Amino acid sequence: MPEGTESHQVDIDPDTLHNDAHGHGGARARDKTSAGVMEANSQEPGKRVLGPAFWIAVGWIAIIALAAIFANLLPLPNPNLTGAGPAMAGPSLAHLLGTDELGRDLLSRLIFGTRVSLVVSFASIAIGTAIGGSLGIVAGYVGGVVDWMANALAYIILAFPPLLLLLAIAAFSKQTLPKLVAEFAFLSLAPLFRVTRGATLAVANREFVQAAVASGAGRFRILTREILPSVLPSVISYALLGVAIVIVGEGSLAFLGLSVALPTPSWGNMIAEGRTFLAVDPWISLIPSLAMFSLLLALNFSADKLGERFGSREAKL
Amino acid sequence: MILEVDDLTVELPLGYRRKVHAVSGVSFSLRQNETLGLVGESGCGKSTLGKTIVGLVKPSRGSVTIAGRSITTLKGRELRLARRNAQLVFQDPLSSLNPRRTILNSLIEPMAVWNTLEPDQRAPRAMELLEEVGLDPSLIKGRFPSQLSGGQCQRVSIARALCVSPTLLICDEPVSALDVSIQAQILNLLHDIREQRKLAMLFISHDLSVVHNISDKIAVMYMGRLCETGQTAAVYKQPLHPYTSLLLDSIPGTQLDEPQSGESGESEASGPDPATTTQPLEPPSDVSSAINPPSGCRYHPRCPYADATCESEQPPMRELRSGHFVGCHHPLA
Repeated sequence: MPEGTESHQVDIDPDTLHNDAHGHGGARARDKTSAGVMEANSQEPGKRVLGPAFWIAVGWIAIIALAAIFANLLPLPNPNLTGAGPAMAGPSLAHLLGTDELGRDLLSRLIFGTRVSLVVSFASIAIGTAIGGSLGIVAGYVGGVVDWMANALAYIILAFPPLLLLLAIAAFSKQTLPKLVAEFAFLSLAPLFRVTRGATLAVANREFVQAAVASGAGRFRILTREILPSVLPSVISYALLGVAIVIVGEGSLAFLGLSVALPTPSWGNMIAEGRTFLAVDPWISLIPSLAMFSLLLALNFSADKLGERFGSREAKL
Repeated sequence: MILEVDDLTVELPLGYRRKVHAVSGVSFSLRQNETLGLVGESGCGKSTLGKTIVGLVKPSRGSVTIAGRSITTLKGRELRLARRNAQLVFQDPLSSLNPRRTILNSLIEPMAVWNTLEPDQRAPRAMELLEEVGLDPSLIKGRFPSQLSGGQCQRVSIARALCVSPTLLICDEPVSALDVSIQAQILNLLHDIREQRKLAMLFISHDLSVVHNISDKIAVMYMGRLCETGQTAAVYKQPLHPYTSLLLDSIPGTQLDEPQSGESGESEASGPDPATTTQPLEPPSDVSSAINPPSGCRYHPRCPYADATCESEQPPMRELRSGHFVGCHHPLA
């Protein structure tokens, strides 16, 4: 036999085997230092910082959330107490943001009103993400009939006009907080399902998932340990946008008087009430509007930054 | 025999009533400590064949047996156990590793799946494997795939494949995405690992010069069918199928002859048939595809020797020389 198995070796010095980082030639010793250099280089640009603006936005969301949670402990007058001060008074030491047409404290109403917005938006999106997200990841990975059916269902829900559903329910029964949460959770199901499913499809056939299958990992393990970590950042980023959308949605319902019943304050019904006195005292409407505006800005900005931060690593593949 | 593939046929559905005939009636076997180089052009079904062997793709017909266990009939846990014997190394070095996991954790994961070691012994084992593939474990272990070079990622992929102690390693174009300077290193590594661990290896590539150096046997695939198999030296020296001859002629330069001295003069002299060297490299008009494969011999629309028989009859694999099979009505020589 002219060429046996011995002649297969390509002519390469065994010393260079350790030298992948920088390719050509060189001994083992040099390679270790050059790999060390590479580490220093690649760590800096590889880890993109979220930046101070992101933390300011997150801090603002946290302040609003904390104020809403601990509203009872804050030195505030009862938000529904009429005549807590003179009607339609401007800001003063006793009433930092002034009072409304019934003499109720505006700061107190604003902070207690936050509760409705935050509870409805975060709770409904949390439920929507949990259900829609898990359906999406399973449908995207399993595929076949499961995917087809879940997708068809999502299309049907998406085709239904959301405002019509909310108005119809509000027209027939009194709105309560749990009911509002359930309605918005239902409406968020389909979009969150679609986003998660899409993100799952993007990774489900990647080589590292196939390698996990080949190594004998079961389906559940692959879903939770290979696919979920790649899908989660984009889903969380989208869910934060969803929170912002629900805040606007609840505000619109409240403006129409179809959210929680009066006199419970919410940003939406505060804006609606102040509308009548816009010419006399624009503050009554302006304050809750500004609060909503700043919260939405913070939510959208932080969602965007999160997507950018984790999306970039995805794109680097 | 580590791997036995018998009459394997894979037809992938493609919309309404159409399907891709990715692999058609392929049979071969592979012994311990033996490398089979599977070559063919892009889209000829060689990757699908590799994935079918590890059970990632379901075959329409035929059987795959790895170390005595049939991949094609087993289900559930039994299938997962049998799969473990065959591991894959992929083409894309970056995609083959989970981007959100450190290298060390990527190696520990397969061990955790099977509980092969006590939890506290897994990390040391992973470090050993990293060393086996020529990486410095202390430098590499905490990094993410995006912080490694392509060659380093490919070494980690190889280490990960070895985690579950397979008997068969399937390398699907493992060096195609790498720099030429690194290709040889990875090829040497694969060769050494195969020798040390006495593995059976299926080496899939479109590049005949790469396959040449690492394979004991060669199988040439065209449009889902094997057209020639034999010992590497025999196939390169005297190809029997016109398609093999065309592939060999397409290798640019004389790089093939360099590794073996003494062989070069002879192979040049007896080289491919003069008739094949003058044939056009590209087919005149090739409307056939794996969706609608040609009748008879699938190569006949491109073959300069094709006649009526080739159009109507599928050539069976014949053993023209000992161990050298060809599926052609008019084999060269």
